[in-house]
Amino acid sequence: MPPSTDLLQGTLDLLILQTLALGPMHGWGVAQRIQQISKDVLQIGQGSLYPALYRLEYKGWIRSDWGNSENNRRAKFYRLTVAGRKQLETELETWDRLSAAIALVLGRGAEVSS
Amino acid sequence: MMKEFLTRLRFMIFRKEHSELDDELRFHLEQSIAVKVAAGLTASEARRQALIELGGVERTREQCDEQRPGRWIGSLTQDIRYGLRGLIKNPGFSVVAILSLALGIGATTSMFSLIYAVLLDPVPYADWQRLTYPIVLNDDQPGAAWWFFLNASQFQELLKAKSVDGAVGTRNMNLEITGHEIPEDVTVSYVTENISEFLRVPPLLGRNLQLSDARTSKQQAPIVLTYDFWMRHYNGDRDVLGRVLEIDHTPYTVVGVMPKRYTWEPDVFVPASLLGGRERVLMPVMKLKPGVSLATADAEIGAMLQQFAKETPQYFPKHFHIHLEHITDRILGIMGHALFLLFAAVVMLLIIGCANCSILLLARGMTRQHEFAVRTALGASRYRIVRQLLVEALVLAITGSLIGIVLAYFLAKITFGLFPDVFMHESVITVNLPILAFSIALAVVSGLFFGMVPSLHMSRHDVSQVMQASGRKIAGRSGQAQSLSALIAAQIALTVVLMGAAGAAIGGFMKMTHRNFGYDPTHVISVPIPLHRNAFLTRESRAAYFDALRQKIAIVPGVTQVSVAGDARPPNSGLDETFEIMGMASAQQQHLRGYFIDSAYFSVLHIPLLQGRLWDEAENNRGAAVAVINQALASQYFPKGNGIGKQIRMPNLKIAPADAGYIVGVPDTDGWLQVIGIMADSLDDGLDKPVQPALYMPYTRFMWLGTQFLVRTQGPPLAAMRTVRVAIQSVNPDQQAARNVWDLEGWVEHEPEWQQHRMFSILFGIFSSLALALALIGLYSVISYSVAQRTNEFGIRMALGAHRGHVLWIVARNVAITVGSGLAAGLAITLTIQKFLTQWTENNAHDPLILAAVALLFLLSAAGACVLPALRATSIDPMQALRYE
Repeated sequence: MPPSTDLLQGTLDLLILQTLALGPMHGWGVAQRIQQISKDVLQIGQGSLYPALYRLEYKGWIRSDWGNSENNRRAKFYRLTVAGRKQLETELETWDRLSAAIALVLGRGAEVSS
Repeated sequence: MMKEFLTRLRFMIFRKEHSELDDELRFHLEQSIAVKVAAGLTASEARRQALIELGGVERTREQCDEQRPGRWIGSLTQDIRYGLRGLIKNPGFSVVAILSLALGIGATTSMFSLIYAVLLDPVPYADWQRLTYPIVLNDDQPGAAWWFFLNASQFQELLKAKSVDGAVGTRNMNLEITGHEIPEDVTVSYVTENISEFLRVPPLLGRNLQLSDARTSKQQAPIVLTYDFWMRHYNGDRDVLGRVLEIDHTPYTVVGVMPKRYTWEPDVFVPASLLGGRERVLMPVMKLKPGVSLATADAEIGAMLQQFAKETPQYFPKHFHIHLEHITDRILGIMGHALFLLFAAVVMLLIIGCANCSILLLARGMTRQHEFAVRTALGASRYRIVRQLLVEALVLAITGSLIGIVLAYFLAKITFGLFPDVFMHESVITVNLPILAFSIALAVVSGLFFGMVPSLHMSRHDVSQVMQASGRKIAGRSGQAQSLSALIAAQIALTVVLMGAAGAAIGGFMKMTHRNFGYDPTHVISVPIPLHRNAFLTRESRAAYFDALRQKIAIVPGVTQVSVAGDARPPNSGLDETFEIMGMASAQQQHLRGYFIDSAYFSVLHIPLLQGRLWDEAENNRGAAVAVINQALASQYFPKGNGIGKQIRMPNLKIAPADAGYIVGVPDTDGWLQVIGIMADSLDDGLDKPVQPALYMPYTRFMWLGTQFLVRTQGPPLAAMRTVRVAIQSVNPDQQAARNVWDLEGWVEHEPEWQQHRMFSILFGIFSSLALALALIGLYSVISYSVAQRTNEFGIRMALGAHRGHVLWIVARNVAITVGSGLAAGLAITLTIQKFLTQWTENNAHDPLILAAVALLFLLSAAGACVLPALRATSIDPMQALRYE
């Protein structure tokens, strides 16, 4: 299933990093968490999720280990690395700048700043 | 039913080898089901919905895999393996394609190694780009070379010049190695002792000359050997250091051997300080300061030499200017254009080879359309298929280039060996890094070049169309057919251009060698005899010595005639002199070639006397003021060609004070001479230029420090050489004959224009034959392919009543259009470039007849290549053809 709202290129990475910043989590958990927090607006299908996780892992921003899930099943847990935490910070900064800029352009700057 | 569906589904998801991703996805699915069950769905419904939500996982798997860094290396090796397997499965195709490329790359690389050897790394000397030597041009006699010398103080002066970084002085002398049964001629170079620091070439053994050698006594003088001399005289013995070599009865101690590339005229090097007093004059080779232009140096050195000429007028002409030359200028003058043309030729050959590969790949690609369609249907992107095809092309190209490098090495070696005088002595052919890099780069470029067209074509598919054709080849894909025709026509055009060039070169060479030489070069050897310094200082004694040698040689068995021929060795010799005719004032300078010979010269060379008489022995011995002229001089300067009885003089022919001891002759060398006879013309200015006016005089009027005998023999002339040497010995045990003795045919073959033309003819002949072979292979495969493609169509036509002749015509018509347009384009290009080619290769025969022969030859071979596939088309059995595939 595609996400119901088209995600900006690279945004998914940011969401995953942010989600993992809360603690180690398996793929399913990441998708569920994003969906929950976004109040079902952002639904991440496995077709986007796992390639993104693999990509982040190859970049060295997250690491994975096999462990047991809450209901005692074997699952792969992802967690943020030090490099990933830094990356998250820079991406958040970029995001803030970008969204503020977009908001300004769209004439909603005041609402954002308030 | 449901179970089967689930099994299938699972199979689709987990069919590959078990991977971590599969485990993750399984977990994902289970979690999804668990959530749905918790929400109140039945187990099976939850599973159904979860699977639907999950969607296809194959693409996820692909995408996860694509994230892997360096993944392309894996898929590249896969592509290469796949390509190699394809090549091994189609050996016929692979061999032809690889050979086409190997020939093209090999020929191009070999020409590149020649260019490398001639232009980029011609000599092993330090800073060779800055090495120059001045050439003194006599304004009164522009054609003649002038050897000038500097004395010690002038040499020091030269070193102070602003544009000069350093210089060595050299002086070559022909001496002899004594202490053996037969004295051996040796060219000794007296060089200034700074030579080692100047050229900075490490010696092979021992050491080069060094500054301290300037102080050694005459009795322990050091000597350094060239590689060739070491090989020749000492058989490459490594214990040569410390041995004594006796030259002109003086012992020298061998202190070093130089490497193979350190070689020019001399055999051995000794310190210049051995030259005593008056003899100690040297010719300079200079290293210019970095950044100094030739023109700047020319002006400075020129002014200097004019000054020196006032101090030592004996070493300079009266009026002269100088011309500075880089040490490689001479070879560039001879070889520059030739190398360019040859390189252009091999590049054409390479393009033809590449076109061949394109054609083969296209033709093969037709049978692979199904494969590509299936791959596309399975999700391969167009980029992926183009890459696959390019990788296959590159595999071909690299394999071809590896074979090509081996080929190139031998081809370059052979070229080098065939034409030794065309290249610098110091140049060597090696396979080195730049050449390897060039070859590999060439392979990659050509691989991309010939792989591009087919892969762009083949990757463009309408998948459904191909799939529906259910294995049947699709006839009449016009785009591809057009590409094929264009490729083959271009190939033909280039081939015709190459054949035209080869025809012109071979025609020109034949014309040169079949030219009427005017003399008979068969069975004649030239035996040069150098004299020792200060030997036979009077005219009479020197003349008598030459005559005594002549008489001894004349009685050697097998020798029929001998002539004392001075400098008169055809086809290119003589002194370039200005002359005047009594009673005929001339505003322009008139030039002739002056020869000092005996009258037997003409009978040895079979040159007929046309009018008048030759001088007799008495006139010869007293150096009488008589001469015979050639027909060219007679017809150019005398009315009705009758010059008998007229008087001619050469005002600049004088024996300068500096020449005393070297040249002896009559007191009035510049006096009036009476013309007593007219000879037929014989070549005297090389093989490709018109005969120059010539004046022949008795040799006793003007004798150098040496002469040459022309010896006519009954049998093979060089076989007589040993007995001739013995005969010379019997007159004077210390008299050596020069080492390099050739017969006159050999001298013809050593003419630069002969060598260059032969080189052109052979290389262009080889290149164009290869091009022809490649083009015919290309043509053959295209026709075979198109016949095979249209088997079905031909079957239908014949079933509907078409004659075999009609089918043949269909095949022939297409071929004829392609071949005809290629041929026409080739001829048009040839005619266009001929105009500017004639400036470089003036001796090539640009003859419409040769071009017509070339066209005919090509048409015949093309017809030959078409016959087989065309006959196959006509012998189609309609019933079989309809069921074909």
